[in-house]
Amino acid sequence: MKENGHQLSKDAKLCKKWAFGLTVLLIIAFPGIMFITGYSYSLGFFKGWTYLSFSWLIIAGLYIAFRPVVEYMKGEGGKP
Amino acid sequence: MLPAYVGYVLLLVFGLFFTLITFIMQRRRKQAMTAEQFSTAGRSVGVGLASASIIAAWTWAATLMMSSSTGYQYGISGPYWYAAGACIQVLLFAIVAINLKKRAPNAHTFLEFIGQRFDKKNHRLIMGFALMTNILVTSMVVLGGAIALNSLTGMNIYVAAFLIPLTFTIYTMIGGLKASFIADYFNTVMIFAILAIFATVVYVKFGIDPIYEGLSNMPSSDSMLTMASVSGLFFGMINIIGNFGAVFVDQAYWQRAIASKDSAASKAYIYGGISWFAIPFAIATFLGVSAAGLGISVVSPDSVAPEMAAHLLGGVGSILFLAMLFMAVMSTGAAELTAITNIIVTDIYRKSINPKASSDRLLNVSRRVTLGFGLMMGVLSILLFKVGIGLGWVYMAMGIFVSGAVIPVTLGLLWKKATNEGTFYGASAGLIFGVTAWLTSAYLLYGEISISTLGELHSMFFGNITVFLVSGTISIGHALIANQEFDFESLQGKFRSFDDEENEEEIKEEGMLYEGKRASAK
Repeated sequence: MKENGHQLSKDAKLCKKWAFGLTVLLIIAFPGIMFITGYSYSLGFFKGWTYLSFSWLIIAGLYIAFRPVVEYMKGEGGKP
Repeated sequence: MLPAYVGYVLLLVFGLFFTLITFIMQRRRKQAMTAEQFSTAGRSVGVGLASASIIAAWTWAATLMMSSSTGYQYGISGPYWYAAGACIQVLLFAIVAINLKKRAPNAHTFLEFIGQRFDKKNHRLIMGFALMTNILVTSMVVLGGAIALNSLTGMNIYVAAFLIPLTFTIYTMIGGLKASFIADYFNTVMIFAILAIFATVVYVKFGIDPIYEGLSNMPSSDSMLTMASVSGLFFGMINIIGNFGAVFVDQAYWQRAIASKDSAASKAYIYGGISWFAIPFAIATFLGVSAAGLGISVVSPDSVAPEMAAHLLGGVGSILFLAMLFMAVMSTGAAELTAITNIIVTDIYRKSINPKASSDRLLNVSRRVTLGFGLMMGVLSILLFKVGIGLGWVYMAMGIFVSGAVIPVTLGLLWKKATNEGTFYGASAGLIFGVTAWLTSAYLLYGEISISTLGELHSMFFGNITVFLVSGTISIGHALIANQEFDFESLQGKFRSFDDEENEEEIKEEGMLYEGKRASAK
């Protein structure tokens, strides 16, 4: 039980870093830079933007589709 | 437009499919269903399933419809602000979720924790907030689904509003939280697959160049192709503030932490949040922004996504879109339904009505509450519709009504100095001042208080921001002045499992621990 609490505290620290880091990146750093510079998308950048959105979709989709199956196979997800 | 029977067939197919899956799972499982299993899924869910389920719970009909509409109106900044502005709440929620896991590993609802951490009046107040959130979200989701079915197939809207909750009520009643997780998984995967189809078709059929051409030739081209769009930024701000309440006060999200294994709880929100980002980002880019770039005229910006889907693939496109929307509705609905059931059973029935209820009794009550509430939701949504309050309106106003509890609840979990009075008066004053600011700013800015002036971006913005400022100032201020310290360790052992057998084991364990301590003291 105690070991478990220790692990949870470690996880909590790590996830705090990730949560705050991503938040700053997503709503302050990236849009901030884009807003201040007032950059207007060129054709190349716009293409890259759509590729980013498309590949994000595919990678996230594959992750969501396969990770639960893998966990289920390994018996990690808990028997339903 | 599709014929009405398509709507009925869709409801029937999905309802039967998920009921069947749950039924098979139930038959295959070795251990019997207990009340604890029903409401926590055995606390054994892994990262993958938990993140899929978080995505499903956060993918509302609005995510698909409204994000596309922002893409159509604000250009590329719309999808970005929609996705980023609603994704960070889930990421930040990971922090409070893991603290709940740490401090109250056996809790069933976050209200149960609030009840032990604070006094009775806080428990009741926050429960009011939580139930309001669940009921608002559910009726919004059901109504959204019914409106979409009605506008795409011509199916009777009242019948749709009644049949949609029925589909997920049945399987949730059989399998509890776990069934909702399994359904969430299938729904999320299908949503991703259908989105990928739409995106591919946009590439193959039109390519990116004509879209870019169209966007740069538009009169408002300056704001369509840049992140430096003021209206986009403003929308982003409201989206960020308003969505906190919908995640932090909604038992459905706490439930996903409670059901996860310890090692999975925090990761699930981070992975879930990052993956969820792709949904509004992609759908709004490919169905909203491209529709604007290709110069497709739509009846209203709100319906750009289904119209673009029909434009891309004709009847097939409409059916795919409808299926995707319906899956989003169903999985959010099921998540909210289990959340309401859990609150009523844990925090009302077991706490105040029958504290000594056996596991069987609790299971029985849970199932009845699920059925009762499932049926009531349809009626509720019809009522909302009758009153004439629109979807977008509820979506934006919801923050004002529920966000008052966000800061007090978060502080209660993370900060030992949070006080009873600070929490109570912070949350209630936040709500009162927020509504006042909302009404006053609508009156001062637009000259009258009506549904439409209350729906303006500025009134919403002032209402939302006041809630946070007031509730935050009071709850933090009082805690600093009072300077009390709460001992989180004292919560250990305060949360009892629903299953009596397990309960006895725990008592035995505690007894042994006590014996051990006494022995070592000697």
